[in-house]
Amino acid sequence: MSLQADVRLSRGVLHLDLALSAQPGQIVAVLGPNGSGKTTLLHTLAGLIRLQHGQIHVSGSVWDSPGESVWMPPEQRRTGLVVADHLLFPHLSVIDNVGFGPRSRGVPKADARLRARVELDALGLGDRPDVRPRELSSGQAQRVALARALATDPALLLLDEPLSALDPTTRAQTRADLGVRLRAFPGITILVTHDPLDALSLADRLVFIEAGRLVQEGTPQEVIARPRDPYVAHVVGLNFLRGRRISDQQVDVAGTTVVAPDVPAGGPVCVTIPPSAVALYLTRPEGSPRNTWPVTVSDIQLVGQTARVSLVGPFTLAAEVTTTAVAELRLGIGQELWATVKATEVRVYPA
Amino acid sequence: MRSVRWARAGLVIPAWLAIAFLLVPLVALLVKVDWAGIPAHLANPIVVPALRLSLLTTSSTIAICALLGTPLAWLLARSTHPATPWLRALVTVPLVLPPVVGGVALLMAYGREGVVGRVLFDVAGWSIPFTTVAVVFAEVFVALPFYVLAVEGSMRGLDPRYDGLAATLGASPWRTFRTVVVPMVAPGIASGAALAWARALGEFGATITFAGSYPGRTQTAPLAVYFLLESDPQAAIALSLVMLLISVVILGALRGRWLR
Repeated sequence: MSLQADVRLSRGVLHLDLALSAQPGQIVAVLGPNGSGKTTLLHTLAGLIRLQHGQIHVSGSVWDSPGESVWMPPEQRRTGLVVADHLLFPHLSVIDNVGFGPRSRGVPKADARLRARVELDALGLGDRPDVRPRELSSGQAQRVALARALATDPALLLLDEPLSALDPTTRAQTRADLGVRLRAFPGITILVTHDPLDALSLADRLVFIEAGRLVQEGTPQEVIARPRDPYVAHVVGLNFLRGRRISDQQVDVAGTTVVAPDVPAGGPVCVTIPPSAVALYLTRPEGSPRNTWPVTVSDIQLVGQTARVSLVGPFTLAAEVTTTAVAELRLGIGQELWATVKATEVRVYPA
Repeated sequence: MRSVRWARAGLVIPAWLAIAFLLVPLVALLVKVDWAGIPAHLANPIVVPALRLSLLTTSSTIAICALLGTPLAWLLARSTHPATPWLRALVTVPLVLPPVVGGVALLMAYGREGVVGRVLFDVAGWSIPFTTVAVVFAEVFVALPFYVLAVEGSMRGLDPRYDGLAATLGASPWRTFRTVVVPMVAPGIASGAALAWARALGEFGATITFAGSYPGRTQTAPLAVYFLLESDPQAAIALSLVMLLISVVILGALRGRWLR
């Protein structure tokens, strides 16, 4: 049940051109900014959009291959699709929604209901099988949508921002339930999301796309350790800079020297700095760390007990400071400060 | 202040005149009815067969509209073919065509000497004009556009992602149409059917041209009203009242959609 896809098509301003493969049991998260082609990618896998070039093979059978004039219509593919706003059929009861797939595939009514029952029970929804979708909470509706997609035993489970329409509390609970259910799913899961938490907590592998192209893929650990693109770094919450090696301990970033413990040999390098390692001062600190830069505050966002401060200096940086620090420094937009980073906090790796 | 009041009057007076214009004939009908004699008038040998024929032909018309018009509405709603807007315009032609012209066109098509009618007569010995079938033809010709446009409108309002989702669950286009689309646009289908039925019930011009006015066979309620008006005006008024009542009931059924 492996997936091998080489997806190439143009739709309006989007030019999708990327290869994707996955093994049974894997959960692959696809991340990217809006309009990067994530949903279009899912729809080509589901058969709702045709490829213009390339091919999609699932467990040895060809689903789409314009070169060979082969195209399998969506109803013959083994996919399950879950979208943000669940799209449960409003005129069918919960159990008939879940049984819709098996019924469409020729399963007798009683067996389809039995199958639906099993899926609903697995998600803790077995107690109210006969209610209509409008009587469900958003989290329940989304779990019913998942049960509906799974009831057809898909080879590919396609989740398109499955948690994005839920409020934060419901989202956390639904994410946990989704994680448990997906671990038991033998097929391939493709999870499209722009929430890093979904990707990091659910996926085995992350695939980042931008403007229809793959920019990085790897396990969450690999991606966090070495993001190769500003968007990827942003998702995993790191400051990302591109530079050139000067010496073993020095990197040139946009004309400014950044000091780091360990600069690899070779030319271009990537530099990451955790926002929590950026310290802010009103005046230039004495006997300061070697990485000290004058910066201007461009934005401040409060997240719980910490504040995320966007800075413009020799390059843009984000700093994470306590709300106490915000008060002590009387931080405001346009304010000029000194930012320092200990050399040991800077990571450098080949670009 | 004064000019504002006059400007207001300039709107209010024509508005009330319009309402009076619509209301006066209906009130007049009620005033002129011989209420005590209604049962006797309705027992007129013309009235009962005409009502029965109208019921039969309009029911057949609605069945045909639903059977043929619903799939057409769905294809029009979802087709991205460049010819679709032209096809939609074509469907609306009978809507603006004078019904008499529709009747003439039907004669040219299905009359004994018509384009299709000649073949039907030569091959099968069928002759459609001036039969009850001709009445249904005339009614379908004028009512189908109403049905298709109303149903297509509500189908276009249906989120197309439902179609795709049903397909991923293994539903063929036909199954999606039957088990997802039709139930989800049921209110649109009901109001389309009611509109089409009202139009078919009132059909006069195409019917008299293509089917004539033979009592019991092609003389529907509107034709009966027209002919009774000379021989038995009170029966004509009573029958008109019945049709007014039916119209009001249909309007009541559509209330949810139109009277807000």
